[in-house]
Amino acid sequence: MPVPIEIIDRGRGPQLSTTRITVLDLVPYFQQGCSHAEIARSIPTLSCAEAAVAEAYYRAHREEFDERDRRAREWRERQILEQRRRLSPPPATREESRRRLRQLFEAHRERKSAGHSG
Amino acid sequence: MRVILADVNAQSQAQRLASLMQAEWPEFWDDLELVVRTFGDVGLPLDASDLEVWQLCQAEDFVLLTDNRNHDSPDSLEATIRRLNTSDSLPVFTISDLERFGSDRDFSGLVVDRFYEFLLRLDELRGTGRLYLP
Repeated sequence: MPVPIEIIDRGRGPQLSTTRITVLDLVPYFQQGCSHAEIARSIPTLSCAEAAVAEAYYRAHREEFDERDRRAREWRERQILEQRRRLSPPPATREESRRRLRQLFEAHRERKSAGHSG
Repeated sequence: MRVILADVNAQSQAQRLASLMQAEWPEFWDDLELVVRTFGDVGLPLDASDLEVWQLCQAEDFVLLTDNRNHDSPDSLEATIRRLNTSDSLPVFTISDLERFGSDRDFSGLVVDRFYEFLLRLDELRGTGRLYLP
């Protein structure tokens, strides 16, 4: 007998009973009009049936989830700004990024070989 | 060996990120002995709680890549980090903009470089909670 797919809340917001994926995790896919097959391709452990149950719940509570999604995006933006204050910001260009990474790796290798020889 | 654990909602991203990392900097990938593992690979159920995931990652020294978005529920990943994070805890990683990661080559390159940078500096980044890429 197939396992019933339900929306439950284990303290992480509404989620599928069969996986840890929350409805909020899938909201961007629903907002972009992705088909269940497209969502399942993007999240290989998710079945079309699970995507359908989550979407039905989203449609029934759309205003609430669109608002949660907006807050999640805002929160992420704030976290990223905070991270840039705490840590060095990422290089602005790929060229600079590649140069910096190569320097970091050279230093890593020197430390590693000094560790091995010492 | 350093395990990158792909959260259930981030398996495709983890695979794409790993492919780009290996294609762009194969010598770095080999040097750091990186491998990507799924929940099934490490014995975690697909419906594992954030607490279970966090505890396994910390106990086994796994680096979690997640697209978890919930931050204000009592048992969310963020709540788990706030409750259990210590100065020794490994951070978890999230790609900041999935749309750009899939479509913008420069952006995905910056994500690759930044992830390598963070993996190289992992010990000094312990205790920082969640880190966004790039």
